[in-house]
Amino acid sequence: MLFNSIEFIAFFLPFVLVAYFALQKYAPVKFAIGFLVFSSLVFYGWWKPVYLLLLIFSLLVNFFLSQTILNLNQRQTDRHKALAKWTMIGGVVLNLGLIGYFKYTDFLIDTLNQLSGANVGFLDLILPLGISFFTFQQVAYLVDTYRGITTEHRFSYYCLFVTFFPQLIAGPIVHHSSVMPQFERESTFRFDINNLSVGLFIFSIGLAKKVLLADSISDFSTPIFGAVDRGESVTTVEAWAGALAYSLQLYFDFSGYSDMAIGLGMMFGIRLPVNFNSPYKSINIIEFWRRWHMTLSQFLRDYVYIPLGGNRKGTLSRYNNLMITMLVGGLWHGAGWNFIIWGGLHGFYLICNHGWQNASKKLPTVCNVFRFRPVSIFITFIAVVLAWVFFRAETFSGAGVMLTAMLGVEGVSFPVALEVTLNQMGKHDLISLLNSFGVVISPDPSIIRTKDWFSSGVPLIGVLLFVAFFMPNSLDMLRKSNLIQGPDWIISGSVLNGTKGRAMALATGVVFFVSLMTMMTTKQSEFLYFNF
Amino acid sequence: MRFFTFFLSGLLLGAVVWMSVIYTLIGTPGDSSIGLHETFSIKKDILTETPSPRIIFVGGSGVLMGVGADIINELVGVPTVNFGIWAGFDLVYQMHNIKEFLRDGDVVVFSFEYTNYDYPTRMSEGTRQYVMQRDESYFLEQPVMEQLNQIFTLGPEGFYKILAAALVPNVEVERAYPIEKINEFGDQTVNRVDKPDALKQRIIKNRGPDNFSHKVDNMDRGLTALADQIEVLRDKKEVKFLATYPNTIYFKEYEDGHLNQFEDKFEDFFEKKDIPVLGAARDFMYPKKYFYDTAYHLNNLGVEKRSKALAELLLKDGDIQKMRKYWKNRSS
Repeated sequence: MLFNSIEFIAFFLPFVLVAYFALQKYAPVKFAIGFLVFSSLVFYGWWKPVYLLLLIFSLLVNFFLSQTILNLNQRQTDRHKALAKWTMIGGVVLNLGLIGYFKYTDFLIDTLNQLSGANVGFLDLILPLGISFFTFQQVAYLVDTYRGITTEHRFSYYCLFVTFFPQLIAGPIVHHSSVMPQFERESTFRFDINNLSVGLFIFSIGLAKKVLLADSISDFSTPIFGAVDRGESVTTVEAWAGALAYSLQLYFDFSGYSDMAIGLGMMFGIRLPVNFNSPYKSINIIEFWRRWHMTLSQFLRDYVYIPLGGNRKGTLSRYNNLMITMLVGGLWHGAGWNFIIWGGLHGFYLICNHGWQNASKKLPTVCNVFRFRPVSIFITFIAVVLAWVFFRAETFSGAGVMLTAMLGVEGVSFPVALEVTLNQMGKHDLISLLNSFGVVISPDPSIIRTKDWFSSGVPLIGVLLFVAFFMPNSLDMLRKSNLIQGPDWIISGSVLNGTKGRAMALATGVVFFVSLMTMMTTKQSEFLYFNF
Repeated sequence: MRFFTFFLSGLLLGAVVWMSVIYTLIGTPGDSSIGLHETFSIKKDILTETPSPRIIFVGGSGVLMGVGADIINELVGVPTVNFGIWAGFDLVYQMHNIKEFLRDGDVVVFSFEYTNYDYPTRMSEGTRQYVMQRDESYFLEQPVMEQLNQIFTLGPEGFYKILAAALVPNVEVERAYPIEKINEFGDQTVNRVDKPDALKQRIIKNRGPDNFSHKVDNMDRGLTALADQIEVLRDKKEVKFLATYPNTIYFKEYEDGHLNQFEDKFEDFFEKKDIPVLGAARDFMYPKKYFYDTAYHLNNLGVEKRSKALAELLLKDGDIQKMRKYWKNRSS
């Protein structure tokens, strides 16, 4: 079931909310929690009921293993400690084995086939939704149990921690330390109209980002990446337009999903961690990874980078660890060389960034221009857009064609349709000017052949870039209006019910209506992160 | 609770504004529909002026640029009208459009494009946009629930188009095809093969086969809509109906059996309605060299080929022979 579907918004969510709060009011809290877990399983099973078995198996085994580790840790003897360690390792291997089997088997077969010339058949396994997310959450829990960071938890809390539907399928990768303490507080499960209101606000903003922005721009990125993957050539203008369109599609898709997840969590009184914080406003790649998929970055830092040694063993080792961590991050996103290259490229960017930071301390005057915020943001954004090409292209050759065109390796060209449009606008001089700079018109009829590209695509890219770079995100909006305060997002009832709150509610209602209208008239699309 | 009250008010406000704007602007002629409207007006004039009994080809642009009414007129000896406009109009609206012009004794040949049979029974997006801009009375003839359904399923893009039609009028828009190239029989004659266009040729070259499996699964919806309209027309006038297949590019993939299934269903439907079918699907599937700019638009060579084939088939029909004699006697 998708958050942006009518069955979710009109039926599933209202029913679960009403039933959950009714249970919480008229029955012991454990019934409400049980109902929420059950609803989450229904939500998950809606897609493919058979994979519910996998989720439940993973849930039971990991809880059992964590309890075993906890018990072994309490004994304090070397033998028990060793046993606890091996239980943890066994658990991690089991989890990684499971995700490896479903996600990477065909990739491995393909690679071996290509290397050895063999022709081993693919398993064609369907990737269980959310497996990358619930596996990482449980791996973190197991490791932290071994480290003695987690305390004993009820099975129901554990189940809710893993299955809670707002975060089950595409994150955020919730760390137990951010939600388990909330479950321990009975007030979390108490009906609170303020939570429901703010949750609805954030959910609506997320829905609008997905339905109105991300899905609109996807029409302009898909044909260009489709063409390069089919082996067709594209002009420089088309390649940049496609790459920018995809960068914005992914941004608003993921940002929208993250908002919806946080909003839904809030409706149920649960604060999920922030996963997305206007990443295109980053002034460097280090900051980008603190703002993009923040919970994955935190996971990779805590469970890959630091265990590898982090920055404790010198600069070279640090760079090595950074590269390995980002390669793992790339592989986490998908089983394919393009994802690995994307991860590697970001590893390279991070190494350059750290290297530059070290070097710039010694070269202050040269670096001044890069300390000018807009320049830093621009360079970071371009680097990210170039890397997205590998992330989006389905074939290595397709990514190559895109990058060749974007970088103008074979000359800068623009599509014939642009010439037609410029001629219609009477901008003959502009064409001559472009020609004088060596920009040529591609003789091939372009993908961007319709006027839609110029009347809708280009303005839409402009609007979305403006929103991404200059508008506050949903949580910023709430903070700036003082509606939520502090790290725990304490809701100010007076602001919520005051003029500002009422204006926001009215505007949210209108935006929600437009989103609903769009949902009802356009093809439902999955969130891009469902594939990971 | 106040937040929710205002949220719901916002929701309601959105709905009221949406509905009011659309109801206010229905009938505001938008520039996006001007080419269609002009074509439509010319065709209506031709239908009014052409004497009966006559042959009228109904369909989308596959008829506009696929049937040579001039050639058929010549070969069959019966006044023939090309009433092909646009396949974006659903079957119901296409049938509605000929209703007021039919006279007793006319022969109507259905040559709807394959895609028309896929349409759901409710208004297609193309019809809705056109009707809201150019045919207010048709929109208001619909039951209120259907009107509301159309208004609330319009989508923001459609909403903006309607708004733009009112706010930015008189924008000079490029017509897809020049209307002055429509001849006195209603044929669009822009499709000359002696004026090749690289972009159009590339489109044809890259064109792949249609999915007939999908068409077979969905054609019942289109046929059901058509059945109702046939009954409406039969109640009104003494007209004869014939059906034929549209012109499209032939692909060897069509031999996978799905096209045969389509034909079986198609012929079964028209047989039950007592409507003869002219030719078979493959009779009007031609190589790419006969096409102009889409898989449904023939160039002038293709039009000639198809029109001759249609004329031969028409002449085998007893009623057409009677019409032919009638016009022969009249002229002598």
